[in-house]
Amino acid sequence: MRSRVGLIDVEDLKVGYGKLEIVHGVTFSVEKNEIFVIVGPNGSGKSTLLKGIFGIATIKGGKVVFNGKDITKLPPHERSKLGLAYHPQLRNTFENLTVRENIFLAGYFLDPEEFQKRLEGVLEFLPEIRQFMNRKVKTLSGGERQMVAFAMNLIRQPNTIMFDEPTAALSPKMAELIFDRIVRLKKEYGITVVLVEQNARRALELGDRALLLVAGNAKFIGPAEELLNHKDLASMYLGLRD
Amino acid sequence: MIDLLRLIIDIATIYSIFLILASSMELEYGELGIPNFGKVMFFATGAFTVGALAVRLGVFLANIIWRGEFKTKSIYYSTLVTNYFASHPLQAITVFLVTLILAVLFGAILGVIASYPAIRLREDYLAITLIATGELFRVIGRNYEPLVGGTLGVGIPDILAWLPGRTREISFLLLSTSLAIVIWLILLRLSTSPFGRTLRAIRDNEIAADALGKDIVKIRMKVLAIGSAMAAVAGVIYAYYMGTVHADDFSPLKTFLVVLMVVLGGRGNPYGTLVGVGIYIVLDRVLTLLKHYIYLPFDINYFTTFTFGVILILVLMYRPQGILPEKPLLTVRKTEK
Amino acid sequence: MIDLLLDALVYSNLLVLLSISLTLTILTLKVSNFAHGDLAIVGVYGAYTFMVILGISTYFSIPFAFLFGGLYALATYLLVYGPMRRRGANFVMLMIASMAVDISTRSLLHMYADFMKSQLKVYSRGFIFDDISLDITGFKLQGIIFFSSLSVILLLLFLYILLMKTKFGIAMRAAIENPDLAEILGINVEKVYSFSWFLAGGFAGVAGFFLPFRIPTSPDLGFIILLSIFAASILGGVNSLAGAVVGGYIVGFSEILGTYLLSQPPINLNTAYRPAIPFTLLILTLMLMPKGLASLWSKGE
Repeated sequence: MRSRVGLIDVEDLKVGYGKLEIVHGVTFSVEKNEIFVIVGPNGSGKSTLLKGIFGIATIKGGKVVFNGKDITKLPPHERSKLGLAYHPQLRNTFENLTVRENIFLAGYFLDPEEFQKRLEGVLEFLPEIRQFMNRKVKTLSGGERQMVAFAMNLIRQPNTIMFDEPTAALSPKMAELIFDRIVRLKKEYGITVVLVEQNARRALELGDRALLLVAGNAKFIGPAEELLNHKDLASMYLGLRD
Repeated sequence: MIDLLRLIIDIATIYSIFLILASSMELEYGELGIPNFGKVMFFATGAFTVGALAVRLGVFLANIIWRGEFKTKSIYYSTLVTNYFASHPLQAITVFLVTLILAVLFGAILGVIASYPAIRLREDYLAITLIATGELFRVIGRNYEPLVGGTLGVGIPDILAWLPGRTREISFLLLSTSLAIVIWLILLRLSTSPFGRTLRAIRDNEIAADALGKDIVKIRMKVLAIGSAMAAVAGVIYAYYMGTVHADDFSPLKTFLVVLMVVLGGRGNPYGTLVGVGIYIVLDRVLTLLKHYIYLPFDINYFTTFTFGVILILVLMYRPQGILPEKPLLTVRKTEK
Repeated sequence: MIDLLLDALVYSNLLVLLSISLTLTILTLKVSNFAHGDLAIVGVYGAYTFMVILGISTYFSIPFAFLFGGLYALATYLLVYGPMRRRGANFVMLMIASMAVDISTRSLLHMYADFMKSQLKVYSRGFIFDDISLDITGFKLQGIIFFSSLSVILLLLFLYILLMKTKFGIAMRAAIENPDLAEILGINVEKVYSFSWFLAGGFAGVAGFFLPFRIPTSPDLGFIILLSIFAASILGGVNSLAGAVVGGYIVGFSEILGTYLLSQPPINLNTAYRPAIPFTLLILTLMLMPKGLASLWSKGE
């Protein structure tokens, strides 16, 4: 798969922690306004790959180009300023603060009018959080917390959001809600989505293109539907039987 | 010439005392990972045992009747006992051995008691508890006069009075250094044995060690008992060397200096302990000499302590493994491959 | 009896200031700071120096106490704790570092006390401040009682407004709870932590300023009261600012009233055993309620 020039171009990226290398050189492109899905068995390095693209894990080789700009050496909040957002799997909110305070912090650098305007927009997209704006995040359920983290990214009006297993440990109903919003992000707001998911079937059903990561190596890059229906790969690595 | 010999004896005795203390700290902190910030308390246990018992025991063996308060009369009576010891070596040695054995016993018991909070408390809570207990020891020693003579301190008879002048000093030196070497060798032996590996395993990853079936509670108790007994021995030597014991001598500063020696020399490496103690003593002497050459508008001792504080900070920041770092564990024999 | 209670109030006010500031440093560093008591002494020596040099009357030097305490605390964070934290120093190492800072600071204070005595020709050890007498609607009140209580009230008000109502304060709470996430959101965590330390040192300095009104002050005094400060903090709940207030008053009153009661017949205990009281409170807390009183009113964690 030659790398095409997309919104995100990843070239031979190696990512790890300390002395350990977990992702052993992957190359792919994420097109504008698509849902790009990354799936694979547990421990294959999906989270690490996202963290490398965002800049919170050590990049040991290769490069990341975002919107034509080489961001390989940029610190995370600089990448964030370019419109790249990251929705971590864990610890993605400030639990002892209220929902309102959390979103307020996400929009820390906005002036009050702009913040109010954007907040209205976010609440339209995620009306569910209106009811617990003044509650501390730690009193919320898993699904509610994910929505808060979602809102925190939306208030910054990114052009790309990378989600790391946003539906993990959520009820099927909550998970569907999240998936639904993610699809709407692409369709209604033109936002590019990179989605790492353990729930491979659902992710591949709503994704446009996909990357199959196994033990730090890319085993497949192409249309999501193709991977979903792939005789061997799907059952071997994703546990999908059909 | 005589001055030089005195100097050597002085330095060597202090080195021995601190080597024992540092060895006990290395065992507890370097190997097992428990920073014992109550170290001075166990040191004091040994010294207080000697202080409280040596002169009383001597008086008992010499059949002297004690008249008067312990506080005001201890120095007078310890001089009498020293005279008695001059012609009764057996009794002198008995007093020494009895106080030594009791000190070791008390130290070990106290160490076992201290292992209970050591298991349950987070390191900094443990530290403040131990420091506070140590200070309580000091306050009791300072105010409960029958113990070690309160604010005046207590006199300690010379247990080597039966030896002629010079021989006495050299014999005491040999005694202290032998004890120090024996204790350091015990440390070395423990460190390089499977027991040592177990300690370091617990230090580095307690949960894993627990899963492997090591009885952590029992091991902690053992280590603290041994370490505390060692510290008590140092206290015994210190007491007999100084000839007197005063509670205020046993302040947290001593604990701090011992921690410095272990961290500076190299945590997890017994040879590092030798180096750490040595550097401290040399630096201490050198800095004290400064006062003869530079005028300072303050007491040189404060400057010395300040320097040691800064040194420890620098070591922690830039070379936390110390001068002689711990040797990594070899898990694959070199012949394989 | 009234005098005893007022004594206890003053001492408790002091402990509250110190225990809140200790909690501020613990929230950022996650380790207890053994040099905290010394910050108070740095503050008071700074204020004392300026009192002597400028000849100003006592209470006007409070700003100097705040400044010295704050700057010194900031320096220790920028030079030692901050770099160590960024390099990932572990818990025990930070703790040992704080002890080294304590030893160095006390030695520095001793050297300064010697210097002050010889150069400024004033008592630099065991010194006390003379108090003023305030006339409040006919009642005569010692200045220290008024000012120490006022300081506590103002401090608590200031902290509440800062942390709850200001943008920076919310960022502070966030950076303390989850520095990684705060960093991602673009919040300068180092700046937040530095400011917390400056504030903590400032409050400690002010507390230190009140010491010589009641206790003869010397360089080691900070370490001597460290046990009481820790007891107050731990009793209240070491991560809780509200707990620090409660703990401060409980320990303060227990210490003063307890020492007095125990020194009376029939016990006649020597007042030198005063540290036994905060010590006992500390041990009881650690054994019975390790998370402190704050665990009673906070849910979750």
